[in-house]
Amino acid sequence: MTTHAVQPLFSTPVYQNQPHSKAATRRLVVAQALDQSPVEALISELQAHAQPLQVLAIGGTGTASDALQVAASQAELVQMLHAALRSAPVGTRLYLCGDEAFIWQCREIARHAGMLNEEIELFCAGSRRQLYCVHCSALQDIADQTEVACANCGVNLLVRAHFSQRLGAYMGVCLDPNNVRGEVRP
Amino acid sequence: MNSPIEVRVAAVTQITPVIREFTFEPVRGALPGFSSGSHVVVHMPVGERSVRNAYSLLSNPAQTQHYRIAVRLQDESRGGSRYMHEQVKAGDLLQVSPPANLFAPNSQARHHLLIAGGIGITPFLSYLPELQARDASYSLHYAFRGGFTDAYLDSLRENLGTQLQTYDSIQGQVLDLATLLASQALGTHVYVCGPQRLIDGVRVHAEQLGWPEIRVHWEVFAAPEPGHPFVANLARSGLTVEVASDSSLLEALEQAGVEIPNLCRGGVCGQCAVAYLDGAVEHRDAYLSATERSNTVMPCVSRGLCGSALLLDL
Ligand code: FES
Repeated sequence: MTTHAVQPLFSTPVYQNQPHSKAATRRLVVAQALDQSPVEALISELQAHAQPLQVLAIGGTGTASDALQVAASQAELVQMLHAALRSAPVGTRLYLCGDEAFIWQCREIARHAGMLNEEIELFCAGSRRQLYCVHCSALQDIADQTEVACANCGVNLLVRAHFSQRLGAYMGVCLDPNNVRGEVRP
Repeated sequence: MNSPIEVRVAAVTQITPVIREFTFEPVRGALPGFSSGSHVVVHMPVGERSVRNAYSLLSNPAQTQHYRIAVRLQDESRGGSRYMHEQVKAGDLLQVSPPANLFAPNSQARHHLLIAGGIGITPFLSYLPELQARDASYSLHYAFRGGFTDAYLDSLRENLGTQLQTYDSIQGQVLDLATLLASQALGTHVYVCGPQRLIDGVRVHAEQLGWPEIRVHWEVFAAPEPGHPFVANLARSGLTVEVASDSSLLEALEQAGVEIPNLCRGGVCGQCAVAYLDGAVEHRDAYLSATERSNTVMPCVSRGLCGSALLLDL
């Protein structure tokens, strides 16, 4: 008998290395940074298709053109994404590249604009993650630690494996109810 | 399975030279409610046989006192549409199955793109009151042969204004599916009902343009096509059922007293699946995968091959 591998949680997000080879009339890449390795590979892969390819990215070294729009900040990039989605037809495929916090924020925007999960591909780079404090609802960026104090309410949080796709964040719950903020009890 | 409801034909109206509308009222009690896009199966005694065809309800789902359907006289009819056109009169009693819905509007859609060909307009007539009541965004593209299959055109023009686009083949007007589907806003769902080539056209263009399947909804509007006669043996009950050329396997089984669950009677819903153990099948459904076809048959549309008996696991 073999031992069963530990199944990942149902909610654990799955990311791609390669774009799906699906038909599209327009392809839109939104990248947090152009020089992250999955982004370069993705763009060269997508350039092989005949359909128009549009890239929105923060900073980067490339010069802006019709196909590449460069934003100075994440806020500006989000504005560009909103504008691109407003004029996009059904048949658009969206490729989101960046850290987890970034791609899930963009995915929420695209879904609000009417896109379906089937039309969105996620490429994860970097280790920044978002943590949602279930006690005060604050979101904060974390790396790969499993325990952290909430930056807003100060409760010591256990980083749970459960990932909320809507929030794009892992759930943080009180680590020790008897010792909420890590102070020693009298 | 839901037993059929007895209805009385309250009115028969000729809508175009080939399309007749029938209004049904309950014989006793109230009719079951229905939702936009629903259909009923009408049981028609044609000679010795009982032909059963599915027809979309075209009345407003909010009005439950009656059901309305419209029937196009089919050239290669197995007798069903001819029976409805030539035999059925006001005051007659008929059996219909309770409404079922395989073609409901998607509640998440931002825009509903409705494409109808000829008699395929009927399910959309029950959509419109709901979409209008919800203040939903929609447009209706209606292709027909003017003066022949242009059912309900005047009232649609009056009711829809610029949300209606018409394409009259007599006047050489062509519905350009590729252009239409290439320019739809994100969040659009497309619904098509009409002749097979229109449905195929929408599905093929949508796929080529990158529409995910879940945005594309279609309702086949055809009674099963006739074929060669064949024999089906029922392995468990030992019955032998002869299927005449103008009868479907499902109808022949029903005739023999074997009731099989079914909804669409058009090879799309998957309800009527039956396992077979031996024999060759001419698969005509749009439901089973290639692997499933080696041991499963959809009796509402598919047939055994002439000459070889089909052994069903029934
Ligand atoms: S009844 Fe729907 S597939 Fe046969």
